Amino acid sequence: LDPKERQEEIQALAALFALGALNERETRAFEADLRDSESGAGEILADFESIVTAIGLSVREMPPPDSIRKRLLSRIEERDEG
Amino acid sequence: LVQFATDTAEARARDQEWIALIQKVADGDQAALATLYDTTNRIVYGLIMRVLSDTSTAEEVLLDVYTQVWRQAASYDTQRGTPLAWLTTIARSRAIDRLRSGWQDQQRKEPLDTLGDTPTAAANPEEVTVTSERQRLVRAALDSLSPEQRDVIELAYYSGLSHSEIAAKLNQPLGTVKTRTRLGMMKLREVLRPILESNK
Repeated sequence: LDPKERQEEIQALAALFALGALNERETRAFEADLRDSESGAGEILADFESIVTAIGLSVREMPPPDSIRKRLLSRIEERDEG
Repeated sequence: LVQFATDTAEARARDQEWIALIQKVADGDQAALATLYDTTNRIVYGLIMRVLSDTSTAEEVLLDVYTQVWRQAASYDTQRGTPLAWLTTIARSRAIDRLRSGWQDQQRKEPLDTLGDTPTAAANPEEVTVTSERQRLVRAALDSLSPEQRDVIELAYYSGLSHSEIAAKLNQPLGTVKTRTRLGMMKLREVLRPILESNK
């Protein structure tokens, strides 16, 4: 791969890694890229991981039923007693 | 820009309140958990519903998420993300686990390509709270992608599919899926630069 193709490959692997969409073999290969500080993989992955986290903020908020709050509080109380 | 700066200050103040609550939860303060739940449950439930599209399963997962928060509040590390990022990461992971375990049951009955089309929640204005500028910015960023780029990113994010599963589902070559994901994420990186910078 020429340097530009190599950079694009790192970007693609970092994007898929951050999304949890790589298979095992590719994950291991990308982890090797991460250990190579000259690859630039660590820096781009940090940005992509922040982006993946931010995607969750785009959802439409929905109120759960009121009963869930009561169930949650009684569940943690039971666990504390247990 | 001014509006964004104001929001960043507001968002940071809210983050500080949530961080203080999580610290109290770690000390076993049930009232703090109740407050944390009251102020965050709509986005967490919205995310779980987006993944699962089934209210009864989503309610169970919501309970599990906050039970996990109760047990693991002490492990929350402010260096690794905002409180909301921590909560949504737990919620996504648990919802996808549930989705995958559901698939295993369903795959015995129907093929994969009829699954994973998660409809968005009903656009009932009464169900929509006022969202922060940060949330609007992320929505605008996703809207700025081409539909093809958004599709692959959302299939990975909300359905937990690997790139080869996405390629099969969309009937596209693996290379196309990789390219669309890369271009989409690079575009998001460019548009969301203010959020990335404010997190550093």
